[in-house]
Amino acid sequence: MLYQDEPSNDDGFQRAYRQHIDAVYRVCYGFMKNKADAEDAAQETFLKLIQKNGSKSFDSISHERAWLIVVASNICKNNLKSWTHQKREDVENTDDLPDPSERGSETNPVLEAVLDLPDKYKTVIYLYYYEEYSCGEIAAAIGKKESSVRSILRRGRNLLEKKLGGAADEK
Amino acid sequence: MKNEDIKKAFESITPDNEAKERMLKAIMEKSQAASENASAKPENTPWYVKFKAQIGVCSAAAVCAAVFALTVISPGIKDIGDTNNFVVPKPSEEIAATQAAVTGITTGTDKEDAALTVAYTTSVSENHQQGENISKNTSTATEVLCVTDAQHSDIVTKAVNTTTAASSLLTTKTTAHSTETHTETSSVSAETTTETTVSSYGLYGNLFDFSHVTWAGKSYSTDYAETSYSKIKNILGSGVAMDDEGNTYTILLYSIDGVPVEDGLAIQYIGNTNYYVFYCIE
Repeated sequence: MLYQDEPSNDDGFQRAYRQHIDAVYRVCYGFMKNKADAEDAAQETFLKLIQKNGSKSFDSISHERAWLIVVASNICKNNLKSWTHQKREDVENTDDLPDPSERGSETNPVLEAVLDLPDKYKTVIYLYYYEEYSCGEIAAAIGKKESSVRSILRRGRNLLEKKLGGAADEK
Repeated sequence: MKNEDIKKAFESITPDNEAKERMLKAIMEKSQAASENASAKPENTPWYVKFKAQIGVCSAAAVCAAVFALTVISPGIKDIGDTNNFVVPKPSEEIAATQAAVTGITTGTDKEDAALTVAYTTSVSENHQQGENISKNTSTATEVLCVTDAQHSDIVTKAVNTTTAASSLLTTKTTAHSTETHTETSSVSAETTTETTVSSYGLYGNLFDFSHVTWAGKSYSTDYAETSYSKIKNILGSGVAMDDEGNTYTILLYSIDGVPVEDGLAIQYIGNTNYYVFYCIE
């Protein structure tokens, strides 16, 4: 289903889901900052993959993965911009909500710092540091110039340095 | 901060197995529902595509109705803003009666055209005539010196009553020719402005007072019955028409097809596009 050598649609989707759900969920969580919204965005991303079925197959699994990550980040950006999400944030910004420090997955200061980065840095930081893509691959994936990707990375690192102290390693 | 720290931070964001299964199940359900909806959903054809043929027929019918309405109504539209520089007076019954005499001059086929034309007259005349052709001024009126092409050099200047001499003979000829093509239209417009009152005078005054013309030794008069351009045969020359007070009006003279010059002429007043039939009264 999902890349050219895939045997059948259902099996292909199951395989793609198992293989990429973690990456997609991480990207979604990085944007949405809560589990429920991240899960919704991840589901929407894989629904896009099903809809895409038949129109185009991917060259490789890494191509498929890159496509899923970019689609996930776009979906999250759209959701964050949507009227319903903004309204809901207004409601959620009350004193009744638990302290952010109580959220288990965000106790990691590095993760906190990454999640606090502006949206445009998150995908690039994730692809570069976690997925270990090169700047050229990231540029191809997100449709920007390689120089722009380098610039985004540099500014993202500087922001992380300011929050965490010390310089991040460069590959 | 090391790259490993960032990597570990991202690794900590991992959905548990229960969440993964829950998401997979939700995805499959949504996918199935979407495919069912897609198959059950009727074709979403826009309304304007469905009714394309009807809309086309209705539009065509509306256009036809509009054209028909314009065709029927347009002859009744008053052409008050006509290019003529004079005011058309009210038609009189007297002149209408004399129209029969004019149609007598015309041939049998002219009767239809003559029936369409409307003659006018007026009792108001305060006009001053223009033109280089100078006419003799008499208290009893009705003497006009006409100029043919051949006789152009024989123009005799006599008593002068003109207050202005604005247009040259050559110029007036050109003007008359340029307006010939509008003769039919002007006939209609003259007919439709019959309700206009004589409240003011244009550049050329009221031409309907100038009913006296002398041509080649013969006197002609008119009841302002019009003839069409198609009946015009040749241009005979230019001259002036006179009113009862001796005022003059520059005119062009034409022979009428099928009518001897001795019996009748067609006269075009300068500044006017119509051709009026003048018949010999001597």
